[in-house]
Amino acid sequence: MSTQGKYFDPQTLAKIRSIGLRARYLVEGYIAGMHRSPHQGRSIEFSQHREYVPGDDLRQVDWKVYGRTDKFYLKQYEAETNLICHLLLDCSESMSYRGPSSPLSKFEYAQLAIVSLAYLVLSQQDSISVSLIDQNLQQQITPSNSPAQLNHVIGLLEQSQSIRRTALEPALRETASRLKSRGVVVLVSDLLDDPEKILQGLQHLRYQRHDVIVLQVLDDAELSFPFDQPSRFLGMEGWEPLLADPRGIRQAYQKEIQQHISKLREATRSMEIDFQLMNTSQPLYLTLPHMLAQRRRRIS
Amino acid sequence: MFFPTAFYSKASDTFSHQLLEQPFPLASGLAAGWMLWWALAGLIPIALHLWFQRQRQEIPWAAMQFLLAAIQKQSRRIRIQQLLLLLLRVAILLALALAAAQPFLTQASESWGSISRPPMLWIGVIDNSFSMQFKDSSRVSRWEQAIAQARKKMEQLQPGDGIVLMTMGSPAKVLFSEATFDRSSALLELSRLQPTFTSSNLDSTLSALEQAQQRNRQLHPELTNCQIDFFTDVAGPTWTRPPESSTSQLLRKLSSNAKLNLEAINDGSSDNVAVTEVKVRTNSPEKDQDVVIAAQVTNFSTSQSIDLPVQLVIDGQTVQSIDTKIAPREKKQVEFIHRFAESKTYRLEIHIPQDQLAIDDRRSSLLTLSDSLNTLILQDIEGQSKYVALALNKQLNTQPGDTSSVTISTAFVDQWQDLPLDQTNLVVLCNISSIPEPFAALLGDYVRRGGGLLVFLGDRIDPSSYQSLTKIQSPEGALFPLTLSTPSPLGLYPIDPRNYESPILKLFEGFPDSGLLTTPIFRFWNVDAFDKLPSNLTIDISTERETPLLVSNRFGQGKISWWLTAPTPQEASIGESDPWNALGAWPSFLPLMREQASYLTQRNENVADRLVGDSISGFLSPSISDIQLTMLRPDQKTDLITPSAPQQDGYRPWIYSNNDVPGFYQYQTSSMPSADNTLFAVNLEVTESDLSSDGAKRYAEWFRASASATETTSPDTTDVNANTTANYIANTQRIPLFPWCLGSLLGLLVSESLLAYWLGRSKG
Repeated sequence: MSTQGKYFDPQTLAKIRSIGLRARYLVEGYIAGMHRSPHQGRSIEFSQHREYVPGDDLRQVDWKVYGRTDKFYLKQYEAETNLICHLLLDCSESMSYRGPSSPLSKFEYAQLAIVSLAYLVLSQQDSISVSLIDQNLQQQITPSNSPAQLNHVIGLLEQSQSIRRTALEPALRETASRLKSRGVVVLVSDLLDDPEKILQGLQHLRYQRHDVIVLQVLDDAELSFPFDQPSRFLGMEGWEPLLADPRGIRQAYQKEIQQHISKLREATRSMEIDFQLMNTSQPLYLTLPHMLAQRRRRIS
Repeated sequence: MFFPTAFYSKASDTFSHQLLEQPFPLASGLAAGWMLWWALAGLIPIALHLWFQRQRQEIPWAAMQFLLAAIQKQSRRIRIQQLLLLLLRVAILLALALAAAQPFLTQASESWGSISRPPMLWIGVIDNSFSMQFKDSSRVSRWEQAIAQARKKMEQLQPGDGIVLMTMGSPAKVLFSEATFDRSSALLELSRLQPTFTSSNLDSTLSALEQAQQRNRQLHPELTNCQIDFFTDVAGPTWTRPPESSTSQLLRKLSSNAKLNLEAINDGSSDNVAVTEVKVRTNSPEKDQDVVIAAQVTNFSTSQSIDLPVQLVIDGQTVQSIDTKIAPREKKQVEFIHRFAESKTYRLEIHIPQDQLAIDDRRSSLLTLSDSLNTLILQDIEGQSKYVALALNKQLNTQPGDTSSVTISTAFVDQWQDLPLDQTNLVVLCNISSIPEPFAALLGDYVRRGGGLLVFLGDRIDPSSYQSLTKIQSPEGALFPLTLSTPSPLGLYPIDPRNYESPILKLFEGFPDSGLLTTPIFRFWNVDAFDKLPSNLTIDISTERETPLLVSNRFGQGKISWWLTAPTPQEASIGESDPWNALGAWPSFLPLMREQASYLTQRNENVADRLVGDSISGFLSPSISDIQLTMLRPDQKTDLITPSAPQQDGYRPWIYSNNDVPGFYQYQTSSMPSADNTLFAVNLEVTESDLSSDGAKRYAEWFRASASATETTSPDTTDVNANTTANYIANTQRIPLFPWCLGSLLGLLVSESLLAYWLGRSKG
């Protein structure tokens, strides 16, 4: 429990649970649950009546209604499926950055978000899978709605390290090819990569008709660039060190990163992907419910 | 005769124009070049810049691509800004070092501009000679005009200009040894200046000017330019005399470092009449006898004759007046004949009506009538003084009622220690073989303080003994100014009275039968190099071959006459027994001796009649114990005089130099009331009365010559080139760049602050 406690922020979980996680689209599943299936059929949940038109399956005619009204109506049912939530965690070296005023590194923050979402999904009897990616897919836990799945997730995260370079496009492509069934894909990453390649990677997931949620985790220092003294910036992921006077380039830097975020936000919107920026200086119990609330508004 | 001020201005304008037409290169220099070492401080910001670059902290960073993109966009602008700031900071330190080094530009130009010229040394030279008291038709004196013009010039000076005032009287005076920068105090000093009664002296003025300029150049190197303005009426001897070589040299030297400007305060009028001389013509004036007093009145006007009364004023009372008509530029002699009832010293004055220059309309002199003559005749053997004593004994022909006291004493020279020289008017040495040295020194003191000495050099004298008298000196020369060689061969040497120019012989003039010309002289002492006698010595009588027989010289305040022959025809001891002359037996001897006695005992007119500025001097008797004597001045003021240490004879010499006002001066002590011989008459040097300014054009020509030397520059002539260079330097000016450096420094500081603030704000 102590290990689990490391990742669970009680306030975060309390807020998420009250909202629930709804897939934006109906997903196929074997376990009937809270999520609507696009396939109507063997479910016991009545959906609607509609008038018969030639060509309809006569097995779906509601004969009781015909007896009362002498008109042919079809009885349609809503099939309930279980949700499969694929959680993708960026394990690149850049995720290990922690700003001077941040309590957690981006990676730690992302781990916390992954576990929180996993707990939420599992508590809804839905399945989760977790994949660690950097330049490609490193490790994966197959989908399961078993309560023990949470321990598997935590164990995987315990072992994970952020040491390699980022190359999201091949990693997402590989991940997309590995995901057997459609579901909700939650990518937690700082997205410090070429935006075109990121979008290409995300496109692979969309091709597979996954409901994709992108959570961009950035440190507050990466957004505000609060340094004053001329400094030597030691690049991660193989970047050469750079000498810079932060005061002189602050505006330009902020402009650059905001352009990057905006570009991703706009592009994901057009691809019908939910995008959420998460600042590690903000508590997770504020940002994660916020994201889910927005998503709920859009679904409803 | 109008001397236009514009004349000089035009000359200098032409000069300036000539100079400005030439392509004058700018030259630069540093007044304090060593201060440029401070320019090394410009390395400080560079070092700081490099040091700060090394002191950067290291920060691990993830979003490097955005940092790189930002740097790529901003780095060029930032580097330019940083370089600009660095350059500004280095420039600030360089400007500071440059300002401290006091840079200047040297430019050949005559005009300094009126608004932003550099500080300069201004020297105002004001002519305070007495001709400046001339009042023109508006009744405003030239002096007042000069002061007004000088005041106007001073008021036009800029803050920071150094001011020196000086006067060009005789002697020239510098009012501020160090230039003052307080214009109000300089104006106050200017208002306190008073005209004097002296003449101006250009040479001493230029010397004093050069010294003042050099001193202030050393004291105030920041005053790189100098302007010297003369305020003068260009009248009088200063400007009428042609410039001497020394004057030209001084002017050239001054003009090489300064801009010379002459403000001629002269309306062209030169009408002035002055009493230029007063003289007693009678050779041996006595009371109750006609005494001729001659006055010379000069009309300096070049065009107008004038009728005016000339008055003789004696002891303040006008006794005679003679109407006189004087032609232009004429020196008119006016003679008054007057009888004096008492034997005393009279104050004589000649007055004419006051004109525009009133100060030279009166002139004074003294006339002393003495009836007591104490003569001491010395000999070394009996009989030598007999003829002289007889000749000088006035009692032989004393008129009834004559109260004059004449005493004649005869003594031997070996009694010299007991002789009452202080009560003696005339000492006669009759053929004394040798003079003891201590006695010679006493005799020197005796003559120096005004005593008369008559010496007969006859057959008995030892030339070497007399030659030793040359050691006794006064400012006028030696006591014995001759070099005796050998006695002349025996013969008859006719006398040449030398046109009766000597005052001793005036009595004989016009009376060739009086016996003087036939005075038999058989032998006399030859004198070496008599054609090169000292200037203070005059030959009264010579032989027809121009060999001196009787010579006179001044020594101190006294006079000496030397007969180069014996005093008596009776004795002759050299070689043969033939007498040296028959002088004593001749009828001319008696009047000759008495004229000589009168001449030698008369107060030296050079002592009694002085010019303003020439010091008055005298001797206090040992019997007077006062530490100081009091001089009563004509302006009713008094001055105290402290005599010097006593001479060998106990007399204390004194000198008074503050006789700056014309008129009568008289000294007295508490133990000695004013006596006749304590009076002095002080007069103006009348050459300043000539107000003509024509002569000054010579100086204008000189100034113009300086300018034209540049005009006639020939590239083929080295000398001319040198001259041109000198004139070029003469008219260059040093433009200090210190204010510009300081202004630039201020501008750089403000720019750096604004830029740093703006960049800081744009970065934030």
